[in-house]
Amino acid sequence: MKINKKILTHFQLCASPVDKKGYLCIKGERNTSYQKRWFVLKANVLFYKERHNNRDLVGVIVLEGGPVQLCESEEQFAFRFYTTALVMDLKKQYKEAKKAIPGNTSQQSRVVPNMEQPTQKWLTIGASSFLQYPGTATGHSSTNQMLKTPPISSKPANKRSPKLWSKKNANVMPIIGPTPPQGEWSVIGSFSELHEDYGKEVKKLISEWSGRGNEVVCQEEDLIDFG
Amino acid sequence: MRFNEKELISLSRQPSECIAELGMRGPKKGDVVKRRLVKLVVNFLFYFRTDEEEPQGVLLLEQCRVEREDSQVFSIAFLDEAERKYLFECDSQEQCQEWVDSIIKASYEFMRKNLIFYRTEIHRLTGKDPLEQYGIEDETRFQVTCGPQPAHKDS
Repeated sequence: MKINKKILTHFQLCASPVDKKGYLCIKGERNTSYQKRWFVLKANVLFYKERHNNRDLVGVIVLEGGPVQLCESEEQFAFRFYTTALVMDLKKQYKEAKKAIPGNTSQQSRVVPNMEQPTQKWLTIGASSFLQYPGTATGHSSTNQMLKTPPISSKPANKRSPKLWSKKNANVMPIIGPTPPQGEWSVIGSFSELHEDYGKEVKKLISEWSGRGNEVVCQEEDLIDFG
Repeated sequence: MRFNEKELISLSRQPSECIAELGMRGPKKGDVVKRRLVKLVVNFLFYFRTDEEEPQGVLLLEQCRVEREDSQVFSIAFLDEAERKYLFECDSQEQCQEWVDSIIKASYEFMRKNLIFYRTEIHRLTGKDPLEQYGIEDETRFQVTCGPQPAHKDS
């Protein structure tokens, strides 16, 4: 199957917002050793090249529709990127907010963009490679730039905010969950259903992590408050 | 350049509402129109030779410009090269417009703009930031003022 390298290279280099970037070590299926590469995550594609200032791509990983594997022993990787589920949830909240305003019936002060994406699951990541941060078990130099992470909020965790992860992993969130059977894609359901499904997995992980002495902020109620 | 072909092939098999046989012409001089089964899945446009299971190729629909060329033809241009376009011939005006609309809405960039719009509006209407519940309110990519950023800004 052909994939246009120029288009991908251009997309990677252009000035559109980057979701995440940094050095990671990648081990493929054939090569048994880790190679350090500069990774850039944009949209649902993970680009990698030898150095951050290289133009040419070594490869791309399309992060759409495959199962994710959280490897706990020496390797761990996690990405977080937003999905249509998030946007659909915001759209729903927006509609409810508009309804709640008295007198605001048929008038629209702004044209609402018409989001008609096909219903899509909470994205899971496909990876036939293992990725890990440099500076961990394999003994790579730890002076390398870690992934650029958004600033960790200094707000105290409150009931409404699902700050579930230990600070060390605050921006490293495993995304796991029910995976579709090979080659099939079925619409799992509404955002609420998805949230329930994934919420169970997350709560299970939390209790496992708590047991291992990790610092975790737990909450008993729903992970996301639907109000 | 390596890529995870297996996952892409699997993705090409997902159900899609935007699938049709269209006349497709590549961007290079000398490319001719060929009938291809064209299928839009998320932000990927797959094209298959008729009766083949595996796609002949795929286009990532980000940073591209979709335009109506005439009543039944639309084009997709990449790389800021306006002259080098992929052309698609549809069977009707209606079908052509449907494809143009679907492709425009398919990109992550479009989705991000929607997200920012809804976030801003919800905040305006309710005083609350809907991204706080997810803990992602401080991320640069979701800021209202976030537009194109220079590449390698932090390197």
